Amino acid sequence: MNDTTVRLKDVTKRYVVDADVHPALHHVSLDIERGEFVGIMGQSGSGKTTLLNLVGGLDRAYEGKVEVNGRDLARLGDSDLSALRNRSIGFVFQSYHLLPGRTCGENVALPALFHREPVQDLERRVDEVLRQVGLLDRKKDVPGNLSGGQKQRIAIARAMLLRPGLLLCDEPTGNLDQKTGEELMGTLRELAGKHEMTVVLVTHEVHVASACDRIVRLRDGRVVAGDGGDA
Amino acid sequence: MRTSSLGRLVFQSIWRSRGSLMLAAFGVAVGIAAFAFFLSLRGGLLVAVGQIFPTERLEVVAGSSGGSALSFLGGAAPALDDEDLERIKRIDGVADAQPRLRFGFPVKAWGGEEILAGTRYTELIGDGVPAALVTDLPESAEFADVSKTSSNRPCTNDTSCPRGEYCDAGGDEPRCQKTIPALISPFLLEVYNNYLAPGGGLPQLNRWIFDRARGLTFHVRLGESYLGRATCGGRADCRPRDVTMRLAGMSRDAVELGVTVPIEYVRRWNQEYGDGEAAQSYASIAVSAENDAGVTSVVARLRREGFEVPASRAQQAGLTITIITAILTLTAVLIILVAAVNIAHTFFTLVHERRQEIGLYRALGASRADVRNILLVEAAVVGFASGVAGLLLAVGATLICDWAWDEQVPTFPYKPETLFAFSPMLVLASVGFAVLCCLVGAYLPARRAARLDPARTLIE
Repeated sequence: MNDTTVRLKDVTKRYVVDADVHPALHHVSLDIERGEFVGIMGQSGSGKTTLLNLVGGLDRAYEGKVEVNGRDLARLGDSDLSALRNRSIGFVFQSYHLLPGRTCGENVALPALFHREPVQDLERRVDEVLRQVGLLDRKKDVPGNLSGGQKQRIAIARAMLLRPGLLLCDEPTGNLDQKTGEELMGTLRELAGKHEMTVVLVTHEVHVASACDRIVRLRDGRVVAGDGGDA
Repeated sequence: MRTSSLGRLVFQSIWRSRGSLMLAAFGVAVGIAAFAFFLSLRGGLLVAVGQIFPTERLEVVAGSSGGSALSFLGGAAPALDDEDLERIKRIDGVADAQPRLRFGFPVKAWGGEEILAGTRYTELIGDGVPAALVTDLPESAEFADVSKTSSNRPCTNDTSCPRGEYCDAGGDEPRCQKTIPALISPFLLEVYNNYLAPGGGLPQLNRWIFDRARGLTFHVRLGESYLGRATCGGRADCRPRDVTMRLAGMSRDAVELGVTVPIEYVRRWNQEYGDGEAAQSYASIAVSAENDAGVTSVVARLRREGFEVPASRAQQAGLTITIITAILTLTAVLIILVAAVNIAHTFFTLVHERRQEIGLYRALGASRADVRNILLVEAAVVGFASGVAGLLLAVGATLICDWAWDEQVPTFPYKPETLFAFSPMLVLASVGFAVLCCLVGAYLPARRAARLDPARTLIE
């Protein structure tokens, strides 16, 4: 059995802005094993979020090879890639991206709407993930009534609804104070361990990264540490 | 993406953007309302015209090669004969053909004391048609050759005959004959009400009065009019005589300005007062197609056979109505097209406003097709709602117009109760057009939404 959840092989990504080419990632190669809790660190503009978007299949214009669960993302059509994101990948964003007009329960249930088959016991699952993040009592509330930390927990619950094997977190504590951020990291770690999830977490905060099993450092689009060779 | 999920997302999206969508839908609804209003007006007016003139029937006259050769040689107007009638009946798509035989001699008439406040005198033109041609009479109206069922008893004047008969001086001695059933056309009543009555200080006649005037008799002198006398082909015993006609009803199949009687009478009278040719030469032949769709091809075949099929008054009126309503409908279509542009603008704005949400959907597993479908179904729902709202607006407007029509326009024969006709096809077309318009308007925004870069929208 292949234990590598994420594999990047010689990946290069360039952005073209006003005819100028801006390199974002340079020949990045990286393996992330199943169940690993990996932090991606680097300064602003180092390519952290770009790397996360490539792994999540949100950005498909790159050179090299990106594999998730052994599947080459470049070879997947839009429909299959969407299905892979829906079933196997959970996203947690810095700005939560909760829909304001819907209740927390409805926000958490969103991924089920894009599932090709009806999700069995959806309500029970929603309740379960909300309980795991400690916010079952806010199920009927709208996100506007929640604190930043609570919103991020709802976002984590949404990401975990369909029990993906891979959780991609982009600065999940970026909008939170240190104490709330540490509590959130604790929750993330606990849930990742419980569900044997692989977590790739982008952050620029040292105390957040210190909670990870491994830290991959990026500088100017290059992996300078933690790619597996120097960890 | 499952249909139930699609429906749920669409409902939620519409509810959230209901303000801007309602504004955009209003334009479509107004356009659809105008579209449905004008097309239903066209339908209603055509129905009204159809009640006055027969629209389902073609009137064939002799063309350059049709008609009897003798008519041409004699310099008379081309006419049709039994041979032409048989040729027409054999043409593909023709269900029936019935001849129309004109009075071929001078005639005058007088009467009308009962409803016109005095005796009126007039030249009379007329024709005869087979009873089978007349299909719009009430069952109680009798329109047939009743000469054989007359008492035929000898008489000296009308009072010596049984009720319903008059003393006919034709033949060797005067005998009682049943009054001759005569039809007039609604068009004649229109002419009377609009031109003759106002000018002559005569009372207006409406359908109600006319129905009560059925059975009214008037006198007709055959072989003599104010313009001259019949020559009877030079026969020495040619003398005019009086007959009595009875108003049997009003029919779209009656000659427009005159009276129509059963063709058997006209045949006999033409023999009596005209020449032999006149008795067998038809002025026109009424042709019924097997179905409405086949009318055009029947016309083409008739023309190929050398017959002329002039546009009837109904067709002319129908064409005028169609042209006017087509212009108005075109205006409505333009309103809808402008509304479609507005829909496009609204959806572009919505896509822009929702780009992060769309990016989130993509991250959570929505494919490009899912995103596109969400917006297109949303547009279709808005279009459906606009179509229904537009139809309701149109129905409301037609009710107001019908009310004004009923209240403000004096009653006249065949005055339609409604000016509008909403067919199921019109309802479907209106709603379908609204949906199509919104789908067209939303297509490009939906495409743009599907192509949004989720990675970029999520970090904005």
